[in-house]
Amino acid sequence: MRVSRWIYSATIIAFLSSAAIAQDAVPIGMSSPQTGGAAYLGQHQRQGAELAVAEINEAGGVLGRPLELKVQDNQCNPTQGVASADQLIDVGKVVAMIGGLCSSVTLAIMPVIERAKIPLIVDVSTNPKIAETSGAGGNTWTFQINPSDAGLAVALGDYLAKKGSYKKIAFVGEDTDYGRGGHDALKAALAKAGIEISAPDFFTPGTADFASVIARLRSEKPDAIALYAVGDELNFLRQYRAAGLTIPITGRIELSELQASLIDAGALDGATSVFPYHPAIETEGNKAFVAKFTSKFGEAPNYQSFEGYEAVKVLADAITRAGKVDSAAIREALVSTSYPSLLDETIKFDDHNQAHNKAVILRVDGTKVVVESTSGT
Amino acid sequence: MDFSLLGQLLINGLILGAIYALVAVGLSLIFGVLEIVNFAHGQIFALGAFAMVALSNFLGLPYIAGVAASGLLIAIVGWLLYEGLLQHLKSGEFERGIILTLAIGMVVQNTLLATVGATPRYIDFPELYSRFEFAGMGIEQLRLTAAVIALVVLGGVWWLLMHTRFGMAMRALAQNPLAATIVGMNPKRVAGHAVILGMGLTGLAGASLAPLFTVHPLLGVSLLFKAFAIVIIGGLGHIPGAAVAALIVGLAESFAGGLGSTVLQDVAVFALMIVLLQVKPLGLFGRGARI
Repeated sequence: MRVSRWIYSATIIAFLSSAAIAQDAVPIGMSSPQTGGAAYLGQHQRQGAELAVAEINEAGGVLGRPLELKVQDNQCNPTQGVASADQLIDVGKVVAMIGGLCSSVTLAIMPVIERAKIPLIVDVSTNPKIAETSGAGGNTWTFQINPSDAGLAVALGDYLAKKGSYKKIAFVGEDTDYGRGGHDALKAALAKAGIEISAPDFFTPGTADFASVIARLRSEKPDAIALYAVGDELNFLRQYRAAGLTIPITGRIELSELQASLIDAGALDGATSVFPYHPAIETEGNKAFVAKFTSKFGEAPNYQSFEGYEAVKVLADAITRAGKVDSAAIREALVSTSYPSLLDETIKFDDHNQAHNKAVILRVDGTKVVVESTSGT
Repeated sequence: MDFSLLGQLLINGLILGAIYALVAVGLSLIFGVLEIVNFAHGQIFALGAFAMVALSNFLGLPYIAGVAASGLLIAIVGWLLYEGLLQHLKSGEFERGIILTLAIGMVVQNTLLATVGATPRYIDFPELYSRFEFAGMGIEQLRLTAAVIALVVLGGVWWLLMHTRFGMAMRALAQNPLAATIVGMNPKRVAGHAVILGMGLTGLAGASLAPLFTVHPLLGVSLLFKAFAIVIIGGLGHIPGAAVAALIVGLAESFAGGLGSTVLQDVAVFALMIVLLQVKPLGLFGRGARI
């Protein structure tokens, strides 16, 4: 009898105290792949967000209350993504959410947060459908702070047009929304500059042997090869190097540590790529961010960590301006966001709730990746 | 028409075919003797590639030694799988064999995902980046070596099957299990030999291709269905048929990709299979199960 009374009171106390904490902190959610194939990216996104939360809380939090980041794993899988959003909303009681990371997951979460009337900040996914269906497109609860594939294609198209040395570009991309969407956007952007995209080659993700398409590229002799791949680029580029091709690579590939062996060997000399972020961008804000991130996590930030960081900052800014912890008020405040990005661009949402942050054109100079330019999207 | 492109596609196709042949012969051998369709074959291929990554990146073995050692390692895996699991299948339990091998494949693949992860691995042999060039065509030294290894090993397997008691026992069991038992053969032992040989060949193929591609746990998935197509085109259980079909499929894939598009490669292979099955339902050389 006595023992059960003890357990009873302890449970009540634990419940009350957890409720007290929950009321004290402002819960914000993040749906992000923490396991599975994209876990590496998801972990970086989470680390960026954690750094921003720590900074905000050290400076006194928002509206005098600390932020609490609740992360749910979505495994880069749309079904799991919906479950993670439901969990964050129903159990986590979050007032706003960040994430998706994978485009297909983000597109699956969007109707869930719209029904629940919880604002969502998309920070990594680039599929143009996200912005097309947001704001004036219907879903007024979704906001995108990173440039979409369409915006990135415009930036790359402008750069290649200015560069002027390419007249005919061959397109090799994965047979997904990323590759096909990237092809359509790039083709439209390059047509304006009088640059022709030859017959595209789409491959199934996970294709092992690229010998045939490489043989065709050798015979077609385009001025450049636009490569759009996430995950298969290393395999393609190693075979490109083994085949002794010297046609310059361009497109949207991450010139990161994954490609280090090829970059170090000089095999990618002259390659260019458009990407939303690179740690070598020389703005004061980014230099400070890279230093803080590196000292906290022991490795340089990547695109995902940068966007996770900025998403939390943009959200905290909106909560502060809303003046109360209320999802509808936060949404209203997000619409009129004017937040200075680390890339020296102001984050403002257009009528499709899409911000137009800078894109980075990266170039491989010998064995080094340099930031060629940053441009609007 | 660009003849150097056609020549290049022909070379690529023949080389690809030679390596497909290793995989398909392994599959065909296991089917011929045990009447098991090995759905774990793709994952065994990936396992061979991972063995190669481990042996050359961490132990520093050169290419040919690494391929041979990986083949042996995977043959041992085959022996363990036979002793532990496959030998308990009784004749006529066809569906059970499918489910068992599917399960083995899933366990191997997910164990690899959980332990080594999904990050692509690679091996940088200098031979990969040294090329023979002639008349606008070229071939990587490593690709050529892989094809030569495949041909030598296939020749060896053929000799083994035709001229040794070990091989003759396998053929006997495939042709008539009852008669083979009556004359005193031990079917379990012979079947075990077929599994060891078949899986070893696949592991060898995985290892020989590992430096050409990036290596990840899902590497063998697409290959598995291609190997099925090859075995069906050649005639189930018919070893030379599988080898010939592998060359045809390699060429079809190379030309479809080179003159059409990469997405057409799989279409070409399976369209070929469908058309052929309309004309010759038992495959090119099919006479029922026979090796």
